[in-house]
Amino acid sequence: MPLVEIEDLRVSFSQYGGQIDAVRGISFSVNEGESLGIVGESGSGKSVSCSALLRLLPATATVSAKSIKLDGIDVLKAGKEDLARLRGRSAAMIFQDPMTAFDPVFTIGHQIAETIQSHRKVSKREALAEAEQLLLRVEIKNARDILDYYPHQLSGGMLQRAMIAMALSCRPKVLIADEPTTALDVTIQAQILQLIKKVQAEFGMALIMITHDLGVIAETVDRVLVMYGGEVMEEGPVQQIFDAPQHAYTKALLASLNTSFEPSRGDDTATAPALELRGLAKAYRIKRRKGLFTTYGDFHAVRPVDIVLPRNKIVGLVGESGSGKTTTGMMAMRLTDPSAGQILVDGTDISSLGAEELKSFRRRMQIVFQDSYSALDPMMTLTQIIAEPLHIHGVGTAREQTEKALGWLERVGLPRSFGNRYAHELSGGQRQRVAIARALILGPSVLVADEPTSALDVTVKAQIIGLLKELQAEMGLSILFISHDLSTVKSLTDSVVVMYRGRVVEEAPTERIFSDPQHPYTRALLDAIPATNPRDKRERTFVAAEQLEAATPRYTVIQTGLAPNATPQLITIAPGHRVEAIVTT
Amino acid sequence: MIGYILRRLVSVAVTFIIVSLIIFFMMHAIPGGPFDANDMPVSQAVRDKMMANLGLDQPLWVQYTRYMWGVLHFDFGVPYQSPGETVTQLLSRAWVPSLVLGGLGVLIGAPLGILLGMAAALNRNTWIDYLASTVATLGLTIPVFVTSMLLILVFAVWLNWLPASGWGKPERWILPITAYALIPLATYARYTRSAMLDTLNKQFVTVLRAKGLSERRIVFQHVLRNSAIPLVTVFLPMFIGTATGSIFVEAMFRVPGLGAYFVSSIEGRDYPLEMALMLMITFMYCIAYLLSDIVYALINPRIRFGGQP
Repeated sequence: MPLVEIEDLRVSFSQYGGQIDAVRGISFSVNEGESLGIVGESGSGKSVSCSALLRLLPATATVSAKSIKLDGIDVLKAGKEDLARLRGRSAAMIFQDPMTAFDPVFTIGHQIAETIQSHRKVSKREALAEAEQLLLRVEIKNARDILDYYPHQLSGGMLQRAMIAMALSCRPKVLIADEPTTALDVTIQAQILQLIKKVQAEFGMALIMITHDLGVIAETVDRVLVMYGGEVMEEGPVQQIFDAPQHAYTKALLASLNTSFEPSRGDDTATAPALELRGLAKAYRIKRRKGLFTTYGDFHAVRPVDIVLPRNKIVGLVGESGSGKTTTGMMAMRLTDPSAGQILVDGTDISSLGAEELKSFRRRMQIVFQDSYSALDPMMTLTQIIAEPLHIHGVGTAREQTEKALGWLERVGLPRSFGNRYAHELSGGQRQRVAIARALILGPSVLVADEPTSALDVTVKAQIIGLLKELQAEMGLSILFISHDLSTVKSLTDSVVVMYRGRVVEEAPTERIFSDPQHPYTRALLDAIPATNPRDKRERTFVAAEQLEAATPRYTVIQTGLAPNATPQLITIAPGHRVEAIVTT
Repeated sequence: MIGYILRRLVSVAVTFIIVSLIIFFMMHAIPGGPFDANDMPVSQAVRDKMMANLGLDQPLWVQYTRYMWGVLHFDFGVPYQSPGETVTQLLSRAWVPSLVLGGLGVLIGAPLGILLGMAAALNRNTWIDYLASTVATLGLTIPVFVTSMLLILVFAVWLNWLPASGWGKPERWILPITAYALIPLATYARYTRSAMLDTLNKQFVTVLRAKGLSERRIVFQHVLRNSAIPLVTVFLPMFIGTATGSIFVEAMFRVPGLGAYFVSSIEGRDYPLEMALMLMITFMYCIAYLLSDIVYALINPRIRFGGQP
């Protein structure tokens, strides 16, 4: 008998203005020890189906099914006792954002121990001892200390490990992982995925992996369910789905995974770069309080960096959260004031311009943000939003502004009839198109794009990248594209700058970064990219931060022609290829 | 933590001085004085003598310094309107009914309000929620003198169960305290409901359910504690603020409390009494905010252990 058996599951939500069918009659089963992947974009019903399995849906949801059985229990009829057995013991769940998944006012140890105690009669002391063992099994080294930590004191990766430990605490028969790595950095994602596979084998559990990312699927599961619009499009062994996809949606998903290098066609003959950052740095003052006295220290968000954005080119700025990439982008736009350094736009330093002069410069530089929802004013129509820059800079009459805005709507692939709509009526991808139209309507020469595709579904992501590429060629734009993910920039950028802990550690043409990475951090980033085919999945060894520092590349005086220097510095090793390294004799 | 409390105490002292300055000079900025001609028909010479006796002929800053010097020694002066006693004596006499009224009102109203708010949040969009919201909205929107009159009409006039006004015997307390308790009840119910709903919608509550914890444990251990964090900053100051009683309720039920003196001291330019009342309230609010900040830090680990350890 299968562990999980779902037949003709339907879920609908009652909302103002009627019913929304989130899941329309899906069936699947999971056997003991099996790994099933459910892949689909947001709104496809993949999370809802699994929440229904544990009866975690809100009261507004109506659930019906021919049968939902988990571990032999009829889920829909389960009483209090059965429900407590289902949740935690038959199935355990890990969630997308570990930062919000823990109760902030209790320690990690308390939260794992209470899970154990709610299922078995053990003392608090025993439960805590068990929690420590579990933390060790998810490769947390200082497990005993971590027990006493509060959630806000740990990083996202650590919290997700603790979350897995908590899920394991009652030896569940199936582990449901709902986008467990989407909120994490790429390098951490690879570690967590490997950990999930490891504990699955150790504890002999079944696994249901819910994700929008085919790479995650390729790395972790045996069998795949492709969902779209609340229905199952396709089901089969993972290799078959990757090699011989049947459904058009599956094919589109796979196409977005396999990208190739496409350098931009722009000419490089112009002498002055569109944007040049010279020794740009940002330090924040932090207060340290000691009794009645306050002392100050500096936190260096960005150490002095030099970045050149040539005219007509796209440069990727890649790094994990906290690497300083967004701060650098914000400083380049003068949205954050730099502590030191120069920002040269078409050869003019704008780092010390006053408000008036800066305003006219803003016409040449625009920005697109990650969260398109909060970046668009909810009270304005799309036409008003797109035309606003024209209004601010006093370009044309009101009628001309509206006409131009409508024209731009079409140019970014939206119908003119959308002009009177509001931002909340659009999907994430459509909103990002509006944000792009607003940024480009003034005809800037430089565009800073801060993770514009991170919040989007894979297929939509590919469309937005395509749009940016197209507009870049048409308008002769120079784009600084900020991303945490090397695979995103692969098909878009001409060169890549890798940032790590506020420093630039490597810089090279995109193809060279992928084929010949020099810095250990760049290599770690590349290695962490999930396989694009289950055939290519492999065991990974991860390097700790200290090991990264120790593995800084070394070059000899003869190779570089520079004086020996024990402090790491950026060294040019090939045309356009710089790497942070130590020069030895 | 101790450093934090010390720093806060310093800021309380500074606040106290600034507020006392503002009150003192605003009080004297109002035209007129305690012995104005139409109130007291005496000759100019007598009036000058009386002013000199009370030190009112001195420059303002001298008066302020003298008064505050007295305050430091717990000497709040002699009220002009009843020169037979000191301000301290008058306050300790008149404060008792106000404290009983306000204190019992809050002690009864606040827990009931919190329970009502919890019941509403846990039974969202059911009749319990609608009832609780109605009670809370009515309690907040109907002025307390209207509810007082209704209470008197129903329980004293129609049913004749309870005396309409006065103080002294405990049965006379019931109506004013009921009228007064409705204010904290309504306010606390609304705040509690929204704070609880906020917490119930958090992701970690779903996680707690998925772990198989009982609903009771989720609500009473996790949700309650998290909801309490935003609530303490509102509740404690409100608690102390309302504990000083209500001018309106005291007037409606003819309770011989502090309320009347707030009005009469300003009207009669009774500077020492007015100053004492204001300083008392300022002091209590300062302490209330200090306490609520300390409690806030105690129940919120994000404040207790800022950032990385």
